[in-house]
Amino acid sequence: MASEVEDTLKRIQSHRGVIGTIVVNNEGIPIKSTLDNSTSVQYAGLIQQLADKARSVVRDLDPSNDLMFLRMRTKKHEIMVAPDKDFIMIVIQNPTEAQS
Amino acid sequence: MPPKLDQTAKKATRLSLSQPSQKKPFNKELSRRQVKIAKPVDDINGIPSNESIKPDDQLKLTEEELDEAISNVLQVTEPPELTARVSYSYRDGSFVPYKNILPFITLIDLKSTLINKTTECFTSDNDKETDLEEVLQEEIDHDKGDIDIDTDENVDGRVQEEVEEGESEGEGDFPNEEGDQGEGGEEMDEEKTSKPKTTSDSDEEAPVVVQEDSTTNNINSSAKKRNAPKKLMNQFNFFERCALTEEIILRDKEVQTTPPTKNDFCTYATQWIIYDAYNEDFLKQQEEKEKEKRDKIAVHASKKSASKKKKNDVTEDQTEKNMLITAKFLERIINLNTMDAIAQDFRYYEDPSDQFRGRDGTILPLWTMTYDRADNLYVTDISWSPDYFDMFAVTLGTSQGHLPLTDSPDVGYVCLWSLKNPSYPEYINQTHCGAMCLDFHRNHGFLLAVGFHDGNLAVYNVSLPTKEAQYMTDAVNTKHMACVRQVVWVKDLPDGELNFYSISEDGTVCNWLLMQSEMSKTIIVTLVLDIEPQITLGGISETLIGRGTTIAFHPENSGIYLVGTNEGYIFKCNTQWSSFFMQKFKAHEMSIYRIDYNKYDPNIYLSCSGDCTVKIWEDKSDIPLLIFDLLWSVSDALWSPFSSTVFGVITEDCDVVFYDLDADKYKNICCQPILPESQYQLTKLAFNWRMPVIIVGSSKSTVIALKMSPNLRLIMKPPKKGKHYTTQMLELEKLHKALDSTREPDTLVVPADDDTTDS
Repeated sequence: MASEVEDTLKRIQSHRGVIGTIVVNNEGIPIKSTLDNSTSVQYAGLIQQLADKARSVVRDLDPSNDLMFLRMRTKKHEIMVAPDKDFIMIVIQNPTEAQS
Repeated sequence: MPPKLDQTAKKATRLSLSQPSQKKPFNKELSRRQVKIAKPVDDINGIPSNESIKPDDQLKLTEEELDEAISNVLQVTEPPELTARVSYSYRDGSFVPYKNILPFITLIDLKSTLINKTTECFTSDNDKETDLEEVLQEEIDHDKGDIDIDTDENVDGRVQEEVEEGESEGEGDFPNEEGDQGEGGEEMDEEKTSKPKTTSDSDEEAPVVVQEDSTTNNINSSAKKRNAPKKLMNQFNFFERCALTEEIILRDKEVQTTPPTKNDFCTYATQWIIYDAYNEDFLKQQEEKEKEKRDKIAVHASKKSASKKKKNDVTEDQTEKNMLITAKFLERIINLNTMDAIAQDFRYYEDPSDQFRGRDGTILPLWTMTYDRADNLYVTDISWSPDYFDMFAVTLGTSQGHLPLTDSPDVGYVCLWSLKNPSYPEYINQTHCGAMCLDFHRNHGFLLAVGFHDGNLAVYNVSLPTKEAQYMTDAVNTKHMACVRQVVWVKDLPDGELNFYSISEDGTVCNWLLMQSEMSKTIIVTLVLDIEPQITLGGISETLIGRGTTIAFHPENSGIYLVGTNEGYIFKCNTQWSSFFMQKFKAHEMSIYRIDYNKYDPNIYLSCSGDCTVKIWEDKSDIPLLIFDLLWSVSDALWSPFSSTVFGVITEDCDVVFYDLDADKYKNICCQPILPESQYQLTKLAFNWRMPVIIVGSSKSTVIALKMSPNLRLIMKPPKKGKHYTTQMLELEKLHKALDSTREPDTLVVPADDDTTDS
């Protein structure tokens, strides 16, 4: 199972336009990252806050609902966040590069 | 003068009062009350106080009656006991007779104060009494002799009296004997008019004057004398010694303990946190209930410990599982980003050029999916999932005629692809040898029957994380003797057992029943070719067995099926008879790759073969209705599920060809190469059951999804006016109309030559 996760992450990294992959544990510490340390920590800290907030928004509206996925389209990138109870997976992709 | 009379009267009362007060120094309250009662009577009526006052309703008695002595005796006899007295019992809820348990009856209750004669208090009290008596005597004399007193003196006396009172108050013995007298006097003063007040004041003055007359020493001594007993005469803060208990002395003691640990705790209490907490609690309760139930049944201790161990694993597994799901999900999203245009086309693109092309259509290539690790293998079969319209399974194996050399390992794969993730299969299962065919169970979309190159069969449950086959044929006894070419699930048996058919190159059609732990095999039919020359080996003649390649079940009558063989024969069989064919005829010159019943009319079916032809047959007829020559080996052909007259064909030179019998019986409506023919070879075709999408499998394990343009799926629309026809009926009519012209008239004798229908 673990190796499958590794493989999938590796494949994700090999996709066109993918800039970086970060896996953050539930304490907000990046446990796996393809980016450099400071960027990873910055992403981890900020995205975790955002994901928490987004989840509380979704769940405040309907407690039986839950946040599954968060996509942020920025001018340069697309940041994809998959928050889970125990971890958060973040992928940063450059969509313009991917489509060309 | 009335005041004078008053004064005398008052004097008398005072004397009479002072007498008992002297005897009972503490009984101040009583004396006061007597005075109060007497006073108003004097004031209101103005009648001398010595005359007795009688109430109006008093019983008038004669002298004799008044003189009569009435004895009042205390008797020792016990008064009659009250018997009818009841009390309500709350405990019993009923009235119960009241019983006087005490063996005595209170007749009289007297309270008294005992004072020790020898104590100082008593002796000094006596002295005081005598003093007072003297004083009072003097007072009376003084009043009688000298009535008029100067106002000045009066004032002085008052001041002095106040001083005296202040002194006594300061000493804390306010209601002493002297104070008692003074107070009593004052109270009387207040009730009197101003005139008598002055006179009464003069009364008070008298002893003071006397004292003033005497020497200062005398005053001092008298003051001392007064002060000494004052302390003990108080009935308010006087306590009998015997009633005093030991005083409990309070002491402060300080002890230092270790400070309690402090923790800062802060959290949010939102609606959903509460909701989660309740859910968790509910689950826990459910679990406990189940546990109780299990405990009642009494599980073995060993099992319990095993389950506990498993639990820990489960939580770890769960996280990993979640991680995998999340990672896969992310991959899908990335793919969606990368191949956004294709996804849009898949859903929304309808070739606008179709309207200018007459009945011709096009196909639009969408995704190309390749499993990189097995790019030397062929796609041997494709099956769409019955549950998800965007998921399909493929088998990868070595194609016929490309049998692996002995030194190269024979491997195969079963892969599940999702159109949402065209970059990597959702599910990969490596098999021990080349997988040749597969089929999804229609009702249980997770069950996958797979046939292998070496004759084995397996059933996989793709929803389980394990890659182990749920059922696997025995290598020696049960498996087919040659490559399995097709597997087909059929309707469950009446008692709910799942079963499927397989056709193999060893010439047998087998039925497989999924039992509790194994598959049971039943050979339904052996495809005996009744043709010459029969092989003779050492005098023993062997019958030729047809190498089955494809099987097709009648869509309506599940007992009837068609089998195609490598030799080009088509057998029409029934599951009920194993030694008898309903029909047997030579349909093709070469291996038949596919037989497919029309989706609208089960009497019409097509077959495709390696002899480059696709033939359309009618049931119970040996003569094909139509023959289409593709000029290249046809690897697969299928009726379209969208239109009754459309079928798709793939050829080995990588062309995808569509025919519409309604539009043109001689020419295809679409012929498009989709891959370079020098490198690839198309092997299998599959129509999606919902979207206008076909999947074409090729060599190098590549799968291509193609979208059919609107012209390839023209469907008869029911007319808005007139008689109501369903699409089904219209489609059938369209098919029959197209085929009618090709049918031979019933009256004519069937010519011997097959090629007459070929145009």
